[in-house]
Amino acid sequence: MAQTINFGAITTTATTARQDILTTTPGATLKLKTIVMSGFLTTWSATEANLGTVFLQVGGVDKMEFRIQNTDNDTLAGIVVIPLGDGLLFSGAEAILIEVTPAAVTSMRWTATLFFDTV
Amino acid sequence: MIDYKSLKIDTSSKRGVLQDLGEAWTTRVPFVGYTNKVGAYTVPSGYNTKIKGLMAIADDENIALPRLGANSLVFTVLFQVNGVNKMEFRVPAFAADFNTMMRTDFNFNDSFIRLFDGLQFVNGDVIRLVTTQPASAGLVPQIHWDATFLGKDTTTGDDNIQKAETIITVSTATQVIITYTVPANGFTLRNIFVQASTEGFYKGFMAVLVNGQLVLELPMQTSGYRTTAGKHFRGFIPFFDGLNLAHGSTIEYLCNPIEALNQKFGGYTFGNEIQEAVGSGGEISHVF
Repeated sequence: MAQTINFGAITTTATTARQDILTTTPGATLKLKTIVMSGFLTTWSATEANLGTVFLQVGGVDKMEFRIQNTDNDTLAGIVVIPLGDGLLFSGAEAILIEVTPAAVTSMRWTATLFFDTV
Repeated sequence: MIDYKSLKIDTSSKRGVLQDLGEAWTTRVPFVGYTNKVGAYTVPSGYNTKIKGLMAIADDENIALPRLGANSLVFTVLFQVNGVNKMEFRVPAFAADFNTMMRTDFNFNDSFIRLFDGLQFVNGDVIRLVTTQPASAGLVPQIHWDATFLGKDTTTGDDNIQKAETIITVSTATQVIITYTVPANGFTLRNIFVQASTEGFYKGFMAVLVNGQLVLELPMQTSGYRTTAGKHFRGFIPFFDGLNLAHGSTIEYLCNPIEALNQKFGGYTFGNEIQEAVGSGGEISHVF
């Protein structure tokens, strides 16, 4: 087994819908173990705010939708970790797409990481 | 009813335990390697001493730059594999005390990556965490970083834990927090831990030895320009009506400074020296 890690990051300054953070088509020999996504303001703020909505698509179909928020220092947010146990398998022709619709034009940084292992 | 307990340190290579706790005597291995002796007090001949309290302090001397990022600086941390970014998250800079040294937008302590049985890296892979600490108002923050890669030897299955601790004092981009070159046996990464602290700066540990035996290990912090003393562990240990030491006994203070800065470590011993010939009277109070 060997690791494959896909990483994508964008900085948004517009509320354009569905901006791509990361897209990849995993091979049939890979299993997806964990998904990590984060969003934060480029200029740090301790003010709670809705940053935007993140979508996870597989094969062009929405599979997950959730919101990422900015919070103050004492509560940690802006990060989503989705553990998938011993991994999800793909056919080799299914594209994974992670995209975001920012809630404001304020500069934000969005990142996504997909941790794969070999079947 | 008032219950009274006392702690007696004997001369055997054991750590003393309070009576009635039922624990066996065990040999104590120091937590850290102490490199510096701060000072010592020896009970003078002809006296025994009632130690009323111990205090250890550590502080920076003439630090030119403030440790606190006054404008809430943001540090970006990247997880890289062979020089390629694989994960990016942010650590906000704010005041931390010893109980809350860990703060990050990606709180590894609470949100483990959960790689199940891990990700395997092969011989020659370089995995590392890097960060960039921007200056604020012309001043560069001094941040203490501590990171760990937890994993296993891919071949043998033995635990393989890589730990690094560093203090970053420059705003140069891509400073390395921890780096690991995977050996021939391979490395299966299970988890990543990272923490950063600023202000109320961790100074390392101080040790107190009585008659050569380790009795206390105290994590030390600086004042960090705070006026609220309660947030910083200064290591004052009271002993009520006194810890009895016979003449010739010694109390030593050791420290292990973790940074190359002008700093002071102090060990204070409070007590009463009693002339042995006089007995219960004739106590002389001292700070040693």
